[in-house]
Amino acid sequence: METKEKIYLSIVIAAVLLYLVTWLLDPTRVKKCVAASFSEVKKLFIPILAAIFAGSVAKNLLLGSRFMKILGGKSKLRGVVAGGTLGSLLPPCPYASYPLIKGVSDGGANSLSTMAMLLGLTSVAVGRVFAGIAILGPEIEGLRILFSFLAVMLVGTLCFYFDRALEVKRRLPRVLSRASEPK
Amino acid sequence: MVPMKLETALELFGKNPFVHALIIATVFVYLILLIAKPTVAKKSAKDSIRTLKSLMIPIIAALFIAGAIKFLVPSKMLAGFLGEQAGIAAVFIGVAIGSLLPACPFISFPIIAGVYAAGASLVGVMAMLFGSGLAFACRVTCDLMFFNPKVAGARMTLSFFVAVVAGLLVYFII
Repeated sequence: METKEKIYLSIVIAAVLLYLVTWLLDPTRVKKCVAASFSEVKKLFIPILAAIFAGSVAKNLLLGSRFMKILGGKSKLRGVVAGGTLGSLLPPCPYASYPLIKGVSDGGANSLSTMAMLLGLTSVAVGRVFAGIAILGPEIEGLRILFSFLAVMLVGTLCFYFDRALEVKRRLPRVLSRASEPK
Repeated sequence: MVPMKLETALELFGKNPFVHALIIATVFVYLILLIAKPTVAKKSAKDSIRTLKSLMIPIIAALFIAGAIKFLVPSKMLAGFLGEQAGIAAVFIGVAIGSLLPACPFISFPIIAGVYAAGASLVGVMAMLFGSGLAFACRVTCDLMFFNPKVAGARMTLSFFVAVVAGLLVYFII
């Protein structure tokens, strides 16, 4: 069995175990959980379908495009900013966004840009604004967007300098050995 | 009767306008490609069906986990950990609790609102919001299904770090 298949099987086993334990502890609650789950499946089926189709078309269309040159190019900072912005604007539901990010990644985005897309989606997620305003109110939602954006910028800058320091550390022995060579 | 049917049909498309935009854009792109580049449209459709075949069962299993969480989270008990007396610890506790909530805001935000109403502090609630869905089954399974364990680990570590920094900013600034 491949690693991917093992992962898929463990997800199914986790779901079955969760329901079994809930049924043992409180059988009445299981009915509510099943009803809520069916409603989730019904609600998300079309968005998931659309996202998987969008992911495939993004991969096939973006291969070799100018946008992929930014996400897969040598300028890491440009790729990170573009990836982070794109990730923040995707739908917050991972099933709707991950196929798209995977498509862009398969289309040639480098690992840093892909990670920036995943982080933008997880931490900023502009698509949560509507739910946030409706459920928690504009003040709390405004604070969420403002502070998560600030934190992403802070952590992103730290990662950039950390990556640069690692690069310098990698290159330093070569530079020193070249400098010590007799001319 | 007609408005009821329309409402049921609209439920199939979810509540988020960003998702609606994605659905419309996908249909639109495929329609244009069918006319302009039919080979790309066919290849993309074949790729999508292959992905769907391999992922449908784990996706449904993860959605069943998401559906159950709504009824298994004890809001009142959580509010006790996140009150004013918790101080800076509320940031870390909030992020940790939030990370286990569903990624979908229409499921996690009502739970967070319930915790706020039950007496949690603003810092605790904001930390829960920053952490919401970071390590929830749906997101982790997507990390594993579409990428690999290494990406899942890096994504979770960095987003935990971002959530804690955002929580600390709220604690010290507000």
